[in-house]
Amino acid sequence: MIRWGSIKQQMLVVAVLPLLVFAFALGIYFIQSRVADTDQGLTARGQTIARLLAVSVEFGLLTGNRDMLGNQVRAQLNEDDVLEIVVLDQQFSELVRRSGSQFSISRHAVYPRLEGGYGYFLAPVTTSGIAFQDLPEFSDPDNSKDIIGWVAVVMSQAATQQQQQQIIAKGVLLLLAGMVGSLLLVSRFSSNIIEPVEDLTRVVKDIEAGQLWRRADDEGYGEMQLLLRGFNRMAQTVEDSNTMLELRVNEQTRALRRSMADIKRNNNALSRARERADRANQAKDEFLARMSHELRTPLTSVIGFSRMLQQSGLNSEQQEFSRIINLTSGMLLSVIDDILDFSRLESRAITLESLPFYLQRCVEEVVEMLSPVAHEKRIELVLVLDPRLPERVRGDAARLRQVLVNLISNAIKFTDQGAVEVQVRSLDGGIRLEVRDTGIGIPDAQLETLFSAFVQADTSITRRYGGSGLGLAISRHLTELMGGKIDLVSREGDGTRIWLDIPFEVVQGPRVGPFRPVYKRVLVLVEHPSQRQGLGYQLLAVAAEVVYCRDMDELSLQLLQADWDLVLLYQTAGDVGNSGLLYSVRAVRQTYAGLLVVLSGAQLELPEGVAVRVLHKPLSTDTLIHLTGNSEVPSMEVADTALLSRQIRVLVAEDNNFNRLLIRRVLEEAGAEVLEVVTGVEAVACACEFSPDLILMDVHMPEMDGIEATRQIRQAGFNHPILALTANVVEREHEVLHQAGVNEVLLKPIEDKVLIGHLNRYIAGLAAPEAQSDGLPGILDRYRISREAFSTELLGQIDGIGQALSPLDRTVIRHHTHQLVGLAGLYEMPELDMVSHALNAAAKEADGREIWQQFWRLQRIIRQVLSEL
Amino acid sequence: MKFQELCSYFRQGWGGLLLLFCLAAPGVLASSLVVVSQDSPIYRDVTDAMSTHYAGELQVVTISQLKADPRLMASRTDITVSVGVAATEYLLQALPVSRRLLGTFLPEPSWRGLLEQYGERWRPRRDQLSAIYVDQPLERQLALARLISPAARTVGTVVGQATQARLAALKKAAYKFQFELVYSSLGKVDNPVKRLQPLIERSDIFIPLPDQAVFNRTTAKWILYIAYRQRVPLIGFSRKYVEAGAVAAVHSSPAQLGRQGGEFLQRYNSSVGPLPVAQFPRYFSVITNRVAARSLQLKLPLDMVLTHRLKESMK
Repeated sequence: MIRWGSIKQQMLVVAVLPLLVFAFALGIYFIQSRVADTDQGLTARGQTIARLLAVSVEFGLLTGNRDMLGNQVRAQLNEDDVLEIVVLDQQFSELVRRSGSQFSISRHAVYPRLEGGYGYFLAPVTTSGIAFQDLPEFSDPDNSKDIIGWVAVVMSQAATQQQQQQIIAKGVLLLLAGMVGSLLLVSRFSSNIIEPVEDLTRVVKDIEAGQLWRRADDEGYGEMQLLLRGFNRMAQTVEDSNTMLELRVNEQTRALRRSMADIKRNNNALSRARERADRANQAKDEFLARMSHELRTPLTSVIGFSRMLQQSGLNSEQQEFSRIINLTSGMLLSVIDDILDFSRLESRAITLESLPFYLQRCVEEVVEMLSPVAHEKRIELVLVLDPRLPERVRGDAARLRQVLVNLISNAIKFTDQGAVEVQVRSLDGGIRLEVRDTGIGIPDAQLETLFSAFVQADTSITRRYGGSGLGLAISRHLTELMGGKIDLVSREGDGTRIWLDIPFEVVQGPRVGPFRPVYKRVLVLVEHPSQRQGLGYQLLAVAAEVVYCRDMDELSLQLLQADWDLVLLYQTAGDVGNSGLLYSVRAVRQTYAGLLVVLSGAQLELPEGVAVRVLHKPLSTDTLIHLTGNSEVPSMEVADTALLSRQIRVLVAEDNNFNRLLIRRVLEEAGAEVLEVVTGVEAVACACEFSPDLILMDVHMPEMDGIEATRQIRQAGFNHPILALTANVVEREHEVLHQAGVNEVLLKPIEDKVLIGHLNRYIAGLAAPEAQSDGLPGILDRYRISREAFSTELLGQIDGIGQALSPLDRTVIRHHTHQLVGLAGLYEMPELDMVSHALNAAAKEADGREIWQQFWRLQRIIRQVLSEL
Repeated sequence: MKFQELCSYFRQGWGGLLLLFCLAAPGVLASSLVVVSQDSPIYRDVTDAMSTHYAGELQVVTISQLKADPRLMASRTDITVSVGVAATEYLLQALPVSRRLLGTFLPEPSWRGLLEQYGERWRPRRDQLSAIYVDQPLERQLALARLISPAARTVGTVVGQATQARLAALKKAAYKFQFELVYSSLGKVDNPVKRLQPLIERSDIFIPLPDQAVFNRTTAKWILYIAYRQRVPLIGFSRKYVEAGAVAAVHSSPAQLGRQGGEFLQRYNSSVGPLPVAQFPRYFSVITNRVAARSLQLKLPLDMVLTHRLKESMK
């Protein structure tokens, strides 16, 4: 499709082109017609002249009078273009020629004809007569059509051709004049339409360009005027709307600015408030750290010395006093721990680990730990495990253990008789851990506030049972942190059922089981059905057949009836003084000489000569397996005497004299050689001087704290374990200690057995102490990487990110942060890892501001890392 | 006559006439058969006038009718009348020679020619044939010429093969009316116009004779043309020639000729004996072309006067 230019061109083409074509065709037609007419006129005239002559020469031809004929043809015409007249007789013989020209008149030629600029015309001369007879019979035939001769006329076409040329010239002139006239007329009249349209087009363009005040000239007439006026009204409407819109936008903009200013003011106020809150929080943290340190340090001394006092040959009354001191100290420590935990949970300072652990073992450990307490209260603590439980799950085992201890302790605490049952079973998408007791229960009115901090069911309870009232609140916090929920039902006087639903991720891996049955037939004496249920899971894994008996009579009968690989006696919690158990053991041994195991909830002293293996509740599958093959019965008790596996030299850096004394006593009794220092400076000097096998480093010391001392000792090349001692539970300090080169952080107060256990663990690995994390410098040294190269690498990465920030090339930023994440993982820099991760995530989808903030954090951390190098 | 034929005659008009004759004079006069060359108004005028002047019965038929029913001829015993040359020629051949024949409405040269052609058949009964010519006697024409142009000295004419025989009578009549006769005889190959031109130039008045060898339409036109150019009055021989440009003519109308025929029948049909010889028209009129006369600057009296004077002069 042809694209025309302006409307004027289109109009001219549309209007004039057909007109011109029509005029041209008409002009050509008329010119041609007139030219043909002249030829026809010449022909008609020639034929007329010839016919007239033919009539006039009839007499001459009849009479053969050539003179007469000659006179007739000569005098006949005065026409200039008649060149020749020839009279011929009947036989076409020439009789008379007017001017004696050489024009040849042939009988066989075609007449009339125009040839060579001449016209040739021929007319026959016929006779005509009159009627003269009255009688019908004598009316002789009319012989008037008899041809008696011919008249030929030759005419010149010169005049005709001249006339034709004039016709053509005039026609062309007229045509041109008509065309020009048409063009002018169309142009003139079309301008009435085109000019307003063009004007309208210009106005539309101006309005499009933003000149909304522009209007079309509406001085037209007819529809065009209506159109222009309508357009102007529309343009006016648009302008009015636009003006109104601008006014509104301006108004809204002013309102927005006011809002922005308000928001900015509020933000500033919020920032100030947050700063104040941060400062307050920091002050609180510091206060808590200080307080915990200040509380734990003397408490460590109290507990330590009370234990030492118990071992120092006191009389029974003194022993009881010491036990009470020890017990109340433990309670005080527990309360302090609860308060600290709660404080950290509230400030969200606790982050959970996500590591694989053995769920069953974790629960068994807790139950085992609390079994003596239950046994003391003569209540049954029963563990019921679901056979479908996953072997390993991913999560924070320590925090789960804490929650379970809390819940089971509470259950034991508030149950005076009956049993506490711990059930663990699989749910869709998680694990349910449930603790049931037959205790005092909780009134309905207090159920709602039960999980609130510092709340117990009754204030009298606090007085009666003790506790901080934070246990359930902490448990709820931790459970929610693990992504689970905690709930309970209770009826006053009937007991309580409380459960956790935690969506642990199951760790897939080779299972240890299914166990092959190691016992064919096992006979169990157990009274309580729930106890039987608790044993069932463990026994099912190791025994082909298990028979449960409710009392000794039934047991005796079974013993007589069959052979048994194992006889298991379950000591009930109410068996005070073990009298019932001893009776049972003796009764069994009268008829059964095989493997006899007693499952007890407390320390059991049996008379000599009774071949009995004692296991502590709850019964562990592993323990049952180890009973076979003459394996030693594993002692579940902690060793009474804490001894080091070999003699080592330990440097103790502790400013508190009592604590230092306590640690010295514990270590020396365990067989260690102890070096004592009071400040960090001394510690550094002593470490370099004596090169001890292990250093116990207090954190808070005069002159130089334990952190700096550790860093310097490590920098001096000391590569033996350094264990930090601190009462501060704040994680930040622990991280700093690790970065400085501490192998492990031990929290005060320190139990002697635990301390010795830790030492024994490190004694075993003294040959390869480098395996422990010893900070970035240590890692670099270990892998023989120069600090300069590492610095260059870090600077290159941060520079790459800086380069990519200005055009905000997210791909490049993510590439460098990815590199940094790799470095952080390899060189154990968790902070760098975290911030690199954050910057990577921000570069993925966040806005520029967030990216810049993360970048500045990253810069700060790298600067810090470089300064540490 | 068959009924259908009678009906046909009635349709053609002749039947009424026949019926009239039958009712008018039954048994008084013998009925006569009138044969016309063709059915045309001019013949009807002749027969009408004839029946007017004849008391007996006339049965008028055309040649074609007669050929279709020859018995028509046998049923009549009186004089059979022919009207026109063709009818006369047919009856000369077909009419029994025992019958009498009156030929009417034919030129004198034609009658002569027919007699020469069929006269042998009628030789024993030549007196049973008679005719009434349509053309005028030469004397009457010359008399008219004298009336038209009293001062004329020469009278010119041209004779052809058919009129050659009348040359003597012409000379006699010219003499009678004191004209010098200038004439020219034309052969078959002669160019009439070319020959007539000098003849007319020498004539004071010109009288063409109706000869087919001389006259045709072209010749008639150019004779008029030449005469007019030479200012020579031309006496025609027919009404049409006068209308075409001849100054005057003496002629007999069909009615006049029919009257003469009726009277002939009235006189001879019931008689027995020979019929009289052929005769020129007894009744005639003079007609003039006044436009032509005015062109020739001739002052002519009224036709009626001229006719009267002519009749007077002929007595």
